[in-house]
Amino acid sequence: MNYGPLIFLAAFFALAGSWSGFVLTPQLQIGRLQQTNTIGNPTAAYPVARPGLAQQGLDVYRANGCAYCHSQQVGQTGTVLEIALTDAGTNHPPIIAALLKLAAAPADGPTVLTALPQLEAARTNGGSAMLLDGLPKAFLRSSSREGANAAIKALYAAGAKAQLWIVPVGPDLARGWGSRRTVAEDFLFEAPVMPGSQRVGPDLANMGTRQPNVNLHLLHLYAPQLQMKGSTMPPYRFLFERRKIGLEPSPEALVLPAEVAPPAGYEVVPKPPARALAAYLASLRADAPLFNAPLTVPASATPATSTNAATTAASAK
Amino acid sequence: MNPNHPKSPFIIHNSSFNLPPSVAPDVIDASCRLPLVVLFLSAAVWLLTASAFGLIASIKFHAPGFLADSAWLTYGRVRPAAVNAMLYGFCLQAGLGVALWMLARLGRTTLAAPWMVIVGALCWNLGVAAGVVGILGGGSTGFENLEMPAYAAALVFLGYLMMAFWGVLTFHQRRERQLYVSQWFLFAALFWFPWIYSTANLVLQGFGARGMAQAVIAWWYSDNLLVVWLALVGLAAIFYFVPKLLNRELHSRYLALMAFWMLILFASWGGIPASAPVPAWMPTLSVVTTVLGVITVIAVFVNVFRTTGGKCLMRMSNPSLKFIGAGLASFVVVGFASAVTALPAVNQVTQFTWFTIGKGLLNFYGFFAMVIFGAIYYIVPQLMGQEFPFPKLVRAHFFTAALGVLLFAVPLAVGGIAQGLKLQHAVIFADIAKGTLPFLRASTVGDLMMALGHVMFLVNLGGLVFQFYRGRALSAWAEATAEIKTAEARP
Amino acid sequence: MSSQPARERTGLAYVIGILGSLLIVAALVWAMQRYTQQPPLGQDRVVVRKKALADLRATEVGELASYGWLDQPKGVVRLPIADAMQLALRDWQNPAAARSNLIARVEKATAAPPAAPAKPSAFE
Repeated sequence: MNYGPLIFLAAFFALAGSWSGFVLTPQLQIGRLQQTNTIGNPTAAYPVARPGLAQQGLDVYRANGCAYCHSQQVGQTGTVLEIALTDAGTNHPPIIAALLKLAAAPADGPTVLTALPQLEAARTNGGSAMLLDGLPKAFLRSSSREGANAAIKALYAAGAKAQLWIVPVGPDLARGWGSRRTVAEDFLFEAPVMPGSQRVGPDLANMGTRQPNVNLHLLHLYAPQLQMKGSTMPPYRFLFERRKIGLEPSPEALVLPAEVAPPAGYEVVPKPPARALAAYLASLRADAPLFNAPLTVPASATPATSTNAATTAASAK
Repeated sequence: MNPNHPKSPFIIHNSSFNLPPSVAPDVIDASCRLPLVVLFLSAAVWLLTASAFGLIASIKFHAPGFLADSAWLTYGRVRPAAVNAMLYGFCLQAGLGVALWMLARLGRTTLAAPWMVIVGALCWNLGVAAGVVGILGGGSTGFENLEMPAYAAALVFLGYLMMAFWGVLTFHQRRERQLYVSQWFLFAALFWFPWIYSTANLVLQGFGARGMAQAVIAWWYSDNLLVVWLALVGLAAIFYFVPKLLNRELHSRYLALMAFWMLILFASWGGIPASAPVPAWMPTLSVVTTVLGVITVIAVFVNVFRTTGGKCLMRMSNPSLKFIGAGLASFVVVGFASAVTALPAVNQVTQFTWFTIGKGLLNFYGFFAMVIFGAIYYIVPQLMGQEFPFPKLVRAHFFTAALGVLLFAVPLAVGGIAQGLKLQHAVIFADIAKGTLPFLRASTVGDLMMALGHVMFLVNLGGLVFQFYRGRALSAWAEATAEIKTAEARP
Repeated sequence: MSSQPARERTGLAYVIGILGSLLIVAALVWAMQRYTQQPPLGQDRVVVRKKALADLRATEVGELASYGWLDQPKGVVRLPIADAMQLALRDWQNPAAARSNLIARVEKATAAPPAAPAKPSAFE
């Protein structure tokens, strides 16, 4: 009996199955993604293509295999709802009382972020000015929409204006690696896309927001152990040129501390690939609030129409 | 269940006087000799190259400044160079050699056009060399396991086509029409690689895809190469050599075929990490199919266990069986580890850690390379008609390889889990990174042990080949000189 | 006699068959690319921006070659450069006459500055 063609067909259809699943369908689904709007700013397209120098930096990132140690994807374990006071008016005691009442609510109600003694103190000696300073500020955390809405109503009745904030949470975010999880949209313009599979070094998804200073990136590339003692990151000195100072020092020369500084009369100047890589690192940010990864950006919170803004932001979830 | 299959090739192989084979094994071996020597020797050289690069990468965790001033030897280039040399230089190349030999032996026919296979092998090696140099020179594509730049990939693909073409033809010209299970695995493997390789390279390096679609396709490719292709060839060798060397019947042909079907139907859907920033159905599907992969592992294990009659292969005196036994053990461990770490709750811990790397290397070195070592230690003396010049080195190789894999994989796995557990809390990252260092440094010892084993392997293989061709040259020389003497004597 | 070409044809069939089956998925990929590939992101923007540039250029060229009012109440016009050069040439035949009204012309063309405040600042 000749099974040859049978094996061929078996292999072909088995592979064709997974091929249509993980080659054709991504091409149809992810391949058709377009730029999208960010929450709260319907005219802003997200993401946008990188500027030229940063785009060249992607090439340096690829060539030197940075992705073998750094991932560019942040995870989140969930989302919590925080209730922020945006306007406390002038009559503070009722607000403090309302907060205290909410704090005493049953277990499934919202939890108060500010320590209770602080609230108690504010109530007894009227030191509410300090407590209610620096608004908008989140005071309550709730796990359910209903609880949050009830709390907002209670605060509104007490004369304050409150907003609902959507806050993604998770260990990666707590470590300051980002403000929301990474989604497919963040990578729209990447070619090649390098999400990374290893965290030998920290995640870089939001490197640009964490460290926008290009010069510090250059310094870190030249001598990683300077800013992070005991770091295993290899120095990338081949991206820099150590040369004799000419008529006058180059304005681009690195300002190095004594332990890694070149001998007198010499300077360390980044070569074009180093500048490109630093520009790329500074351009990394995936923190725009999207409809499939919502978060509230407090800076853009408008104090006036608190409840409206809250419902828009929340309904996006 | 068909233990007494009337046409099982092993009955005939092992008692060839019952039914004369269509082509005698020594004629088959003679036809395979040169192409296989080329494939195995270059594979051994690549294996050692990979070890050297791997060691350089590993030493960088002891001293980050080690060789850091050279762009060509920076960690991000040396590591992919090591993986590519190992994968394309050793695994695929030696796997193809073993596959061609098994196809010829099981089909009881000579290898079709051995010279073309040699040309293909040379083209393949040229491609891998160009690829590794390209990666070191900064030409990597940026996709894991597919780093070789387009020009090298084209050469590699061409070389593969040449070899696989004659492999398929050998299969087609077989004199024994009844197929043994290994042939199913091998025949599928011959096609599997060009299919996935052409897809991945055309899409990722040719036409281009948008955003994360590239990553999904790259993950799909990696999974199909590392899980499906390696398992197809490795399991074919296990199912062939275990019964053959034990002189027993394979326990169940149907269980083996079930493993085949499970492998090609389900394992080809794995590979998308549970946390990947892609539409959720993709990782979900991967998780389900990876967990189902346990069935394949159990089917294989039960089959071999019953075939051996419950004896431990690693305790056999035959070194080939020792290697294959270690390979099977690693296969089982990797299979279960993959299934467990695919579960989202566990994956949350093991993702982005050294555990994944350790598991991947256990698959390379523990499963595939071990099985292939076992096969090569059996095949090459058959081809040459001589024993290895240093038989003790074969045993020493087994111990260093097994110990090396253990010392390599266990620290990475333990360190990876520790790292993953710390990543679950908002611990300062620098502390987490520092916590992994002792484990990484311990794994360097495993690296060294394995490199030592690879040297032994190369010495033995090269020694045998040298001994054989030296013998040939000497006898040819003797013949030539003898002829002159008789010619002189005649008049 | 007839077996030779037949064998050649069988050989060719093998070559095509085996190579075809090894390359079949590459053909699938080509078809996928042919029928599903989307234009690169921002392709539509390129068209829009090119059209805007072409419009701008067309307006500019038209204005450079035509006459029109810039500010009718003040009597400021635009005219083709060649004509302007000829006018200048004609005016400057007599440099003294041409110079005489320069300031008046500049004042006519430029907007009047805001009037000085009635009461000078105490700090000046």
